[in-house]
Order: sequence, then structure tokens, then C-alpha cells
Amino acid sequence: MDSSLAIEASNLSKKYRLGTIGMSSLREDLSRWWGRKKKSVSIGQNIKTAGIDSSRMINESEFWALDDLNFQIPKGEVVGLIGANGSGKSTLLKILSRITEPTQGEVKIRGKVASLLEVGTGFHPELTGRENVYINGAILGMTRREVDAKFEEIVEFAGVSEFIDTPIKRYSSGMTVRLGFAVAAYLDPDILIVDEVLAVGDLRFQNRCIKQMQKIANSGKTVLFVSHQMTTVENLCKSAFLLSEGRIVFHGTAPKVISEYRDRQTSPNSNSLGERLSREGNGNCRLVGFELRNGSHQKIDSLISGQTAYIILKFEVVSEQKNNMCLSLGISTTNQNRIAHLCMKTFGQSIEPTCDKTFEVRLKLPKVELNQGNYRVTSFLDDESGEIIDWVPDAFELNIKESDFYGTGMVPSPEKGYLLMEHSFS
Amino acid sequence: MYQDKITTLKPSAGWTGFDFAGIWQYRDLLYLLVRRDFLAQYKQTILGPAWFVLQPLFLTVVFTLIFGKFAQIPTEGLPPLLFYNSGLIIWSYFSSCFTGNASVFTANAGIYQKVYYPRLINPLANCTSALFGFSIQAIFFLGYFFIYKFLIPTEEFFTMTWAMLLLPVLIPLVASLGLGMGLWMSVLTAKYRDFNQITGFLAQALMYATPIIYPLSEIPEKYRFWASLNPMAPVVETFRFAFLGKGSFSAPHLIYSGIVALSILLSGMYFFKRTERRVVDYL
Repeated sequence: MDSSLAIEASNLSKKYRLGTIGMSSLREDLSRWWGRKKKSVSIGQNIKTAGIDSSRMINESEFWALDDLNFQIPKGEVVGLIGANGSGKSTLLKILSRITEPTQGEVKIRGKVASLLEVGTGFHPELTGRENVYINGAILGMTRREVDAKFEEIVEFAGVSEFIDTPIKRYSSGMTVRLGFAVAAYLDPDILIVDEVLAVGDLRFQNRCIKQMQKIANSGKTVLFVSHQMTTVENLCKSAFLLSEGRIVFHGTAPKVISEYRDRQTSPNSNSLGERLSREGNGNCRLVGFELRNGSHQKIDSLISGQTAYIILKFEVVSEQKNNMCLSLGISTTNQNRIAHLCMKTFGQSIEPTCDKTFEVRLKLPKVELNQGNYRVTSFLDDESGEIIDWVPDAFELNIKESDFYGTGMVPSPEKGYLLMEHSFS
Repeated sequence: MYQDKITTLKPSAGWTGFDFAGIWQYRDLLYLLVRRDFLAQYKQTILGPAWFVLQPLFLTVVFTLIFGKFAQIPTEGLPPLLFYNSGLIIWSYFSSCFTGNASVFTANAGIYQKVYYPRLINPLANCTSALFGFSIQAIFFLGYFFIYKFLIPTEEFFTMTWAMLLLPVLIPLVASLGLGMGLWMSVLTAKYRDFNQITGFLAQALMYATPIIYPLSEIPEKYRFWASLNPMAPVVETFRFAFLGKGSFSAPHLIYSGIVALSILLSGMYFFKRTERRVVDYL
């Protein structure tokens, strides 16, 4: 292992069992032992494997939670670990924290590790704050003397000095969490592993936690940080790893990895619009596809700002619809800020029920007033009576390409503003 | 400043040895857990630590009434209270080491999924807490002993014997046996919850198989061999012999108990160690 590295993983893999996760009853194991086990009592068989990519499955009941990870983390670097739920983040942290062993491969770790997968592990409600600080510290690997030395600071950081000799069952949940984090904040490891714990407490305390983390980071410690809050990752971490389906799919500077993650997370696929499950409504009609066309009615993949475009939405009629319908589209940025709402009702328009199996709605944008970048479109179809027929959040993504919108050769960068509005100064 | 110790985490193949250094490193945790057990147990109770003494005393009184007065099981000419109490306190030490550790993995699952420390710390802490309780009970037993000896006129004769010197052997022996059996059970309950039920039953069955409510000498000759296979039998008998001068002392039987205790302890530690590596995956 190179002396500049803090963590080095090679071919790291972890296998898990689905369903009861390895728990089997004595009867089942005994019957297996006797060789009388019938196939029909197989544990994994009744378990849905939906949601787990088939390439991760080993057989019907086992899958790779981590699949052949190779990575290196240099000393003193603050590294973010991001990925969707179930991508293997927690499993990786558990292995690095020695909570469980890998199935294959190995990790080398230089120095003392403290892992903070939860705040206040081992807190006992009947004991006082003081007693719990000592136990929690010891569980995290501190000696009594180390806790002694930092006790005042810990209590002050948590802001519970008046209550330190009160049983923590009398604490508010916020106080408990603050005390838990405070203990962890004063651990003095070489490598700190933190999982999502900053998402606790009120905003003011969160900011203090982040500051403390930054302090730890600046003192030359290696920090591995997992969070779903991208802003925190961006503020704290220099580089990041993106995990997906148990593999590291992207590695680079934090902002790059975050934008890659955002792109992947909800890149909608127009082909599967009809099968999309995350939708609401009675389902009499369903959005099944869309098309983008330019001003001369040619199919395009991206819209160009400042030019005419058509968005054509295709619906399928599932069962008879009696009342007139009304369509509205919401346009949002990729981080979920709604910036426009386009609705038929604004113009008193509606869609009359049809006897055909499908129908199309054509939306004309005489001049695309969005800055370059990606935007999400939510489709909302309802009934005159207000009953939702088909509501598909983030149904598809619009990619807008840059153009000379103002005819001056200058367009503000998308970070400065999403909208391009006609304007003049005098 | 940067520690250059490299830890390699990989699938462990075969036997990796006991992590005594790790346990030593976490000795403060052991101390704090013992303290926590003690403090937490009697928070919000009126009598507090007095329960340490009252519990076995109540049981002793019940035994005196039921087995002594009604069933009239002989107590080798000893005052029944002293007879039952002596057996009970050494038994309850064994029993808390055993049943207290039988669910170590399931009881601490929440912590084990979040933090690593040598898992053997928990069973060791349990045994130490139990030893603490035992010491208090032993001191009170001495109190009863002197009350009977000097304040209550009785024609029954009892006295301490040289076997008191064996206490430093006897107590570790009980602890090893209890801990060893507890570790075995903890490994089994981690995998099969069925053993949760078995633990309670086994502890109770073992208690009746041990000369606590009856002296070993009351067992008919032809069954005595089987009774003395129980490694706790010579321990309780020796304990009673040490404090009260009745009961029996047999060096071979005690050595037999020692060997059994040690083998159960070592095998228990072995399986415990093997289980702790992966147990989190199926808890």
C-alpha cells in the first residue's frame, strides 16, 4: 500500500441473501441437513426481486451488494460517497467500519478509524447525559481519559450543560441527537467515516455540525462522507465517488460527480412512459409518449432557446372518458424548482373525449424562453370535475440548447438564471 | 501524528485467534458497561440496589417453606435458610452468566450494526456485573451465617472449613462454565431464535439437577453417578462445604468440573468469534 493512501480497496465484493437475510428456522436447516428439503420451501423463492438489477443477482436468493470495487483514498482527503438508495453505500461503510466482513477482496486502512453510522449509539435512556457521554465515547473507541479531557467541550457543543445530570429520557429528541453528535465530533481518529448523520437536529445545529466537520477535514484527517444532501457534499468534499448497483460508476471532483448523479438519477426514458409506475389518477387515459418538433415540424431531440418548438404528448385511452379533459404541464429545473406552469384552462380550452384508442395534444412554444440546460416536465391531465386522470411527475426531460437568443451574441450563463426574457433597458 | 498501522479487512479464512489485545484496548468500555448495568437496573426503583439482596432472600424463604417445611427435604442438619441461600447465591451467579449472555447478539443487534468493538466485551461485562451482585449476596450470606451462629440458639452445628481457600478457584470455575454455556447459546440464538426458549428451560432444568434444594447425599446411590456428571453439582457441594462444613468435597469431581468448564468456555469463545464476523448480516 502506497504511503500516501489512507484507504485502498481491491476487488471488494459483498454478497447478501434476500428476504429473511440468512435467518432460517432450525426446522428448515435440519430438514436441509437430512437432505429432505423440498425445492418448494426455498427461502428466496417467494421474495420479490423487483428493484434489484438482474446483473447483481447470483441466483434466486443471493445478490452482490458490492461488486468488485477498486478505489483509493489519499490521506487527508475529504471524500463524498453518493448514490441512490440500495446502491451499496451503507454496505461499503459497514465493511470499512469492521461491522461486517467482505465476501471477496480486501481493504487496507491506515490508522485509527472512527465510524459514525448513527449518533448516540448505545445511549441508555435511564442514565444521565454525563454517564451516556462516557459510554458512547467508549463504544466509539475513546478511553475514559480521552473523554475526561474533552468532556467540557462536548457538553458545550451539544448545548446541554444544564441537563447533563438529567436522565436522557427527559431530553428532547433534538438534545439527544446533539449530545450524540457532540461526542462523535470530538473523536480523534485518523479516518472518520460519517453516514448521513448531519441530517438531524435543527438548521442551526446542522450548520455547526458541518463547520465541525470542516474543522476535522482541515486538520488533515481523511473523511469519508455519505449523504443525500448534495449541497453538504459539495461544501465539504473535494472529490466523490458515485455508486450505482453495487459498483463505482463515476469518480472525480465533487461537483462533477454530483451532476453525473443528478443526470442518472432521473433521466427519464420516453419509451417507458406508458409503463411508468410513479403516477397517479384514475387511469382512464394515460400519457404514453412524447415528441419534440421544431418550427418546420421536423423531429428533434433538443429544443433551441429562442426558436419555435412543438411538444406533442401522446395519450392512450384505456377506458371511456365522458367529460372534457384538461391538460397542464409543469416545467421544473433538475433540482425541483418549478419555473413555469402551462395550462389549457388559462385559455379556456379543453380536450373532448374521443372514441379513438389514442389522441395527441400539441403544445406550441412560439419562442423557447429557457436558458440552456435540462428541465423536467410534469404532465397533469384532469377531468372537468377536477378528478385526476393521469398525473406523471417528471414525465420526461427537455434538453435546451444554447443559441443567440437576444441577437447580441451574448447570453447569460444558465447558473445566472433559467429564464430568458425579452427585455430592454433605457 | 498519523498512525501508520495498517489494518487489512478481508474475508477471514480459518481461525484467526482470539483478539485479547482488542479487548484490552476497550477495557474502559467494559468498565463503563458494568457500571451502566448496575446503575440502569435500579433507576426508578424505591429499594434500589437492595433488590440484589432481597431477590435471593425471598426465593430462599419460599424454598424454606415449600421444600423445607412442606416437602420436608432434609438439609443435612443445617438451618434451612443457610442451606438454601448458600446454594442459591452460587447458582444465581452461574445462571446470570449463562442466561444473561444467551441473547448477547440479539440484544445488542442495534449497536452491532452501527459500531465495531470486540463483541466479547458484552459477555465479559455481563459476567462482571453478575460477579458484583454475587459479592453483595455473599456478604449478606455471611451476615445470616453469623446471626445463626451467635444470635439464634440452635443445636445444629455448622462452621466454615479450609475449603474456603478454594473460593478463588470456585468462582472463576462458575464464571467460565456460565460464560461458556452463555456464549454457546448466544451463537445458537443468533442463528435460530428457537434457542431463546430453550435457554430458560435449560437453566431451570439444570437448577433442579443441581443439589440446591436437596443435598447430593439424598440422591439414591445408583443415580449419584449421573447426578455428578452435572459440572455444577461438585461446585455447589464444595461451596456449601466451604461455608457450612456440610456437603461433600471431592477433588476428582471438582477437577472434572474444571475440565468441562474450560472446554465449554474455549469452544464457546471459538464459535462466538466465528459468529461475530458475519452475524450482522443475518441478525
